[in-house]
Amino acid sequence: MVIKQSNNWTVHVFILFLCMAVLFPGALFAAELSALEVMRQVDQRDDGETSNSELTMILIDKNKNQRVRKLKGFRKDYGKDVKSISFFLSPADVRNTAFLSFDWDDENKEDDNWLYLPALRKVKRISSGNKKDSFMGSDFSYADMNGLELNEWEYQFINEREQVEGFDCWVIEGTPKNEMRNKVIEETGYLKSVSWVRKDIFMTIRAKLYVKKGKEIKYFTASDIIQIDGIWTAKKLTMKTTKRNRTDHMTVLIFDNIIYNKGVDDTLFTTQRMERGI
Amino acid sequence: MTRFSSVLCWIVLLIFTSVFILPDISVDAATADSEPASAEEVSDDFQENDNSLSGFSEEADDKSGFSDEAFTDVVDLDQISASSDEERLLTWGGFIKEDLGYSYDHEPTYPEISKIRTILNLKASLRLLSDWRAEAVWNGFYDAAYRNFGRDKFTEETLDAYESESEIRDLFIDGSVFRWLRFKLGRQIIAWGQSETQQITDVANPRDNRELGMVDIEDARMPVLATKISLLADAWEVNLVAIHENRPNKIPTVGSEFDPLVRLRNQFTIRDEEIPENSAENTEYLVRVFKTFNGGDLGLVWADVYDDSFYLDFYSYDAIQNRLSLTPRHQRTKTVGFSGNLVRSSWLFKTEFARKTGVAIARNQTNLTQQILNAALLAQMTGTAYFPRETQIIKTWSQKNLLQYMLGFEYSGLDDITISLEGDIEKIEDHDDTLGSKETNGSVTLRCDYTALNDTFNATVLWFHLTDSNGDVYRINLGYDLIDALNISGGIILYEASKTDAQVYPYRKNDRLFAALKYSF
Repeated sequence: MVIKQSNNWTVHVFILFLCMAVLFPGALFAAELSALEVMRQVDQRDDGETSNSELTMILIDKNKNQRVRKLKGFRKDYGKDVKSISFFLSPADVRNTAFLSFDWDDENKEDDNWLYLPALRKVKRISSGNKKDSFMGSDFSYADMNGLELNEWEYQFINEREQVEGFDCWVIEGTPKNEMRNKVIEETGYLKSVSWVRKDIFMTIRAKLYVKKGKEIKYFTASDIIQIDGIWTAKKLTMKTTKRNRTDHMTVLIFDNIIYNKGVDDTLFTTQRMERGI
Repeated sequence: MTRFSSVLCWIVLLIFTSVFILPDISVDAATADSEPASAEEVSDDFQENDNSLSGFSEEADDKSGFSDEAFTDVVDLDQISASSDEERLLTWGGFIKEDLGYSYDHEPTYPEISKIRTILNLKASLRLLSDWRAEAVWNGFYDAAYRNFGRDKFTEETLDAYESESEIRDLFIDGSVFRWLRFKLGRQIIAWGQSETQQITDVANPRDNRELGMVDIEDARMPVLATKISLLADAWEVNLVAIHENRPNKIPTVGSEFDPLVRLRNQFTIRDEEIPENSAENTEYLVRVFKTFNGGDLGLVWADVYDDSFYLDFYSYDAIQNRLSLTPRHQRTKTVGFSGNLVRSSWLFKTEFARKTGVAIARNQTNLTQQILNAALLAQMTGTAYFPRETQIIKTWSQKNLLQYMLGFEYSGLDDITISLEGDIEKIEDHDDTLGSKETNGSVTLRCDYTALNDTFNATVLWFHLTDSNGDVYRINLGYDLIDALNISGGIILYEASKTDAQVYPYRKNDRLFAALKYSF
């Protein structure tokens, strides 16, 4: 298995998707919100001050061959900044590989990312520019992991009332703003997105992403949605990449042993801890 | 370069075939029972229009694309709920690997099938007290190529070094006494610095240099018995290291394909390497201050260590046979340097610098010849037949200070591709005409990594260039994960040198194709 050394990924999966989670008190006013305001509420959902969890990533190719990867991740908010670290538990050839990330709220600050490769016994800093690449060989890209920058996109309702699995949803189309269209497409790889947002919890439960390269369409689904410590959480996420109406590859993420707000030791978020392992 | 270009064309063709054509064949095979793509659909895929949304083939029903039942029914939930290694007291792992080499341009004295090596690597980790752990790694191999070609055709040294090996690599305990104080005791690797090819501030561990250009950095560092104390405070880290084991670089042996002394052995008698004893007096010391900051890292290093590379010291001069004997020895040197990196978007810039004092630099051939003539003359005049080491009648090296610089970058802005370039320069202070090395030497390493097929396929192209026409090494490596635990790889390595006195020239016939199958557990 190849661990790509050159991306800003970190375990945003533990930050964003784990916490496809929102307890939004303003649901009564939902009908009055604009599409952008809905997406902002989705973006600002409560994900707890700290979290730790185990992640299983299942990669399924078009012949239904599957590869399974397990990770353990920790996250902690420092004001608006977020630090996270994750450790590979399996497969064997990448066991003890670790990723550390500091995600700074200040747009002028580069996010900090380090990778520890046990074969090298060395912590290596990695760059964070290319967000289009696949996240660990999955159908999720780094842009998916980090989330899209709301101020770079325009949103409009396609449908303000659509039932998905019994829940009332908004259907919102997002397109890059004209003045930064090329930049956004270059950075994220996406030409357009369509999101289905549950009105009761402000969670994106489905999304359709139009990828420029290869004219692929990716289908995102969040399921097994439950409340953990008062925080709405999707325990299962899937992303399916299709081309010419055929499934090319699919990724399933399953979260276990999720714990919110029980505290995470600061010393976890150090390069020394990466070397030492979990 | 011509030979390389032609090989490169074939490799590119191979990559293109495997990445772009084979998957399409398998798509068609996998979907043979579904409707063939219409001409419009196919043509749609080629209607590339940069920011256009035309050309997408969507599900007729917007919701049907979200259905994943056909795929997720293969997911075995029992498998994913298995307990993780974290909970286990003792964990085992390792790999078994079969390495093959084919030297298609070999000298008749070396085998065409140059490697049939079976490698076994075992690793055990034991959780001790709450914050302590112990780890042991053993690695061994047997290479059947030597028996296959005939063991009697190789020197004893070559068989010892290349036919089989069994060694304990890592063996240490590691843990914290306080949150700010950490100990690591035992045989370990201490990897510092930014350079991927040169040992500038990364001077704690010797390297395995037995096969030029063929050993990956992850296998090249050799562990040493050391005590490492780390003081930690936020983004600061101070490492104090004492190395108790003097272990030189592993070098190609006499009679092996990469023998670095092959030219000298006809002229001189090269004795066995003298390695400093493991004693309190010979303990090596290193200190590093390391700081991480937003957008970069910085490390300052001081080291008082033996040079892991040998120099050839005068042992004796036999005037009757006019024969000089030399002993490979290791010089104690001091290093002061720094390393750092800086991240800007998709760019990672890196640098490293060191000043090494007391380095042994070999004298040149002209100077040695003159000294030998003088010694022969003195022998005639005095009637002395043999000059032992104590006489120091011939000086084969000079003690100099060395400046080493590295500047490089990694760029990961291209889809699935990482390009890294590293330039290294060495400068000898107070250079004089007696030295065998030029005042300034350099090397350039260019590496390009490409991943595809959901990270199951990777290709690496590496070019290592020595300045002053001292030669080039090219390496192309392709790898594919048959399953997560099983990787198959192959490639080619080429050695090129146009000048007969180039460093790489003796190895110009060592080009080889290689392949490997590795199972990790």
